[in-house]
Amino acid sequence: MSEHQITAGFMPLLDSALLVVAKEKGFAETEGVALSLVRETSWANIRDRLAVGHFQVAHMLAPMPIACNLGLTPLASRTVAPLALGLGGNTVTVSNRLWEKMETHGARPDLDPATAGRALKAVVEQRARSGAPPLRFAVVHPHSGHNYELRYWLAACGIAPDRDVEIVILPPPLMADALATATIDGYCAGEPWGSAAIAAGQGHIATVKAAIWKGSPEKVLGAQAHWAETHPEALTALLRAVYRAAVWCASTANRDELAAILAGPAYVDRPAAWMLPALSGQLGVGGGRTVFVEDFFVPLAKAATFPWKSHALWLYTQMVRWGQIAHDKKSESIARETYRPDLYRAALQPLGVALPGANAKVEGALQRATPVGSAGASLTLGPDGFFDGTLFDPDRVDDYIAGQRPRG
Amino acid sequence: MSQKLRCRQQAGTSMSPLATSLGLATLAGITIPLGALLAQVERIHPRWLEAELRHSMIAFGGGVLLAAASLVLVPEAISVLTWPWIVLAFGGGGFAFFLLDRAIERRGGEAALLMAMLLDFIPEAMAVGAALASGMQIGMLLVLLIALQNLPESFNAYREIIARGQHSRQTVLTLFSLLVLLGPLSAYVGHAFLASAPALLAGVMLFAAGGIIYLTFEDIAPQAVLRRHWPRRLAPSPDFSSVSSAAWPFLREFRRWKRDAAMPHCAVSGTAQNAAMESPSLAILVIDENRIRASIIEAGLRESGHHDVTLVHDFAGVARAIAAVNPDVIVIDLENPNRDVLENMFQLSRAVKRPVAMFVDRSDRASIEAAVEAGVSAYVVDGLKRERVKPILDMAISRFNAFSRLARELEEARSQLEDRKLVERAKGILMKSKGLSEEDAYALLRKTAMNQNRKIAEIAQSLITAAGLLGEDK
Repeated sequence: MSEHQITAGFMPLLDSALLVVAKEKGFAETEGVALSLVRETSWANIRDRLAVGHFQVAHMLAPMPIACNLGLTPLASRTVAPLALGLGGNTVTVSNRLWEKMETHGARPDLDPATAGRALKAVVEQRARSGAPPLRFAVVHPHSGHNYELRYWLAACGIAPDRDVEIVILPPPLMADALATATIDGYCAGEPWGSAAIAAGQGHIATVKAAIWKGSPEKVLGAQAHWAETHPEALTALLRAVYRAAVWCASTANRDELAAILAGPAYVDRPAAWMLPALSGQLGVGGGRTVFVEDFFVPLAKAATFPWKSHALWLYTQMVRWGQIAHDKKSESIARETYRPDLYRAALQPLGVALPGANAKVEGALQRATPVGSAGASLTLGPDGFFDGTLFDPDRVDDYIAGQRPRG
Repeated sequence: MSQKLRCRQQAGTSMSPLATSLGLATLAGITIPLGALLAQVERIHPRWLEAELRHSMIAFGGGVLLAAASLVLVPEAISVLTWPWIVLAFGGGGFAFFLLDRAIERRGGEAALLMAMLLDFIPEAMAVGAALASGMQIGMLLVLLIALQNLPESFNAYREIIARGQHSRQTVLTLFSLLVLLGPLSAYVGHAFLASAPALLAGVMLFAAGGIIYLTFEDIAPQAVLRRHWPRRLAPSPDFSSVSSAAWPFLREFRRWKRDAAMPHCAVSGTAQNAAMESPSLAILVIDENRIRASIIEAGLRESGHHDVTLVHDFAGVARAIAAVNPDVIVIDLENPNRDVLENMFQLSRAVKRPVAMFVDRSDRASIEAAVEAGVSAYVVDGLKRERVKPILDMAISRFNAFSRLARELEEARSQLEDRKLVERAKGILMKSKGLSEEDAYALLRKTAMNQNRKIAEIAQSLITAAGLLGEDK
């Protein structure tokens, strides 16, 4: 008999891997957790069912718990993020037609955000001159890494996300079809939904999350705050199970098995071949070309499961930047306190896990992989740079917000 | 039935006319508590039968009542009175009960259903009293028809009252039993005062007939509209459907006008009623790719007085619908992957001009839980009064629950059928390959299933698969 009954909601995405493996490979059971996984159809369902207690924890978009605690969602419940479910994993995929136009303006199939962005800007300007309607991009949720990194990339390339293009919300499984029918011209989504369009021959990957901001946060394990406070032992057991699952996922020897598990009907329910690009970093980018992306999706290394407060704060600055909330100290503090490295440390320190010496770091400071001070085993971090070379200092949030290009 | 026959024999022989009348009139009402009792024990049956049975019973009851009015009361009275009096008495009956019904509805509250039940039985008891006064034959026929009709009606009324949860089963049953007394009381009045005055008697009959016909359409026809969304076998008895198909469009308009005038049927409290009366009716948008479920919700909303309901089955049309309808309330199922898209529409406030909040009240945890449990979510325009939206959400929740129960039970029935087919095939294979009798083949399957602690259908499936591999199942 397991001591802890935990029900977790997840969306059919590659980065549900850590939760799925925690259950499928028995790591949860070993820790005394009877883990039930429930696949959901929308992030709104995940949020609602976490709020009413159907789920104790869930696979969540990294900004979602912050948005919940800031009251930005129609139904808000106090949520904490004690663990991240990996880094990276998204692609920006554009239609074949748009890619052809971008190529005439210098875009190359190397996923470089700067050249692709310059080419896109040229296309956007050309369309504006000829009176064509603005290009339409889709992301999965307003409070998502997808939305913020797409906007960050566009804005850094001189394209105003709210004026020069249109950004809409679409469920990831519908994106490849929307691209094929020219309902949208491009989208930013988690795998395998970028590779889905490549497999169908309907698009090209212009750039990836791992190139826009290396080692950036994507999904977290969101836990209902009240449950986490009243069930510390269950939470600890679950965090350990998920960490052990991350170790398993990170081993290249397990790659094919992991792809097969995720492809199963209860999980992503798509061909195993669609899972492999993200797991291997060998990304088909369209037109039959494959590009190797280092750190495309990082399940374990570089403290990939650590809930950095600097990640929470950067996501918060983007909520401010795009007009989702007005900046004040109280909101900033709510965002910072949503991520709970203290819970992570408490659960994993006894396992001898490499723990960072601090709870926040200057994002973009590491140009290359660097051994850093840590407790326990040795830890290497980075590179973690933004493609445009800016830095985010979590101690200077006001300055960062003031220095951001204004909205629109 | 045998009890009834005995009654008739007794009526012919030894008993006095008054005693017979009183006995028969009691019989007419006795089915009221009987229907309630049936409603209590009916849970023994599979639940999907229940929904089907209910709708059939409603339609059946309506048919019987209309038959009673048109075949018994009206012809009997027409032969006695002149046309102006006929029109006056019949129309007067309809109008009088319309006014009474409206008064009850205005008061609203939990008492309304009980009052409505009482209201229905008043013209019936009057008719029984009058008919028994005019002659035993007609009286007996009417008693039979009314008794038949009261069964499904009280069945439904009981279910509805219990569902609202304000009264205990015991209380409702007692109240229903008290209604029975109304029958013999009317019979006594008829016997004492009407038997010697044929014109007055005919007038009362027509008055009662007018009342019955009004109430039939008021109470029963609106529920039977569901038949449009259900399999044909649920269609009501022929006499009812032919009458209702002609009268329906008119009555529906009439009913709509009346509802709008009287305001909310579903009002639970006085404040709710006031809130609803102050402002125009709510525009409701229902987004559901499941057309049957959407229709069930729509029917429920219309029944509770909401006429500004728009259904959208394809999410692609949602933005347009929102712009056109400018809804106060949006209902969407949780299976819909486009909930995130919908919520973003609110956030952008481009498609939706007014701010939107989720559910009735963010703090109303019980409602939210019930909704999520049922698989439905609702968004309301901020600032809408809780009392106005709560009944809508409650209705959506109950309809969603009813639908999923139905779907689950149909699925169970389907898989049982599948299982049986598998077992049949497996038996056939065993009979052929092992030369067993059908009984022995089944016994072998059952024994194997018991030994392995598995379902017979699973064993059958394995056997069929194995036989297929070995080429024996050709």
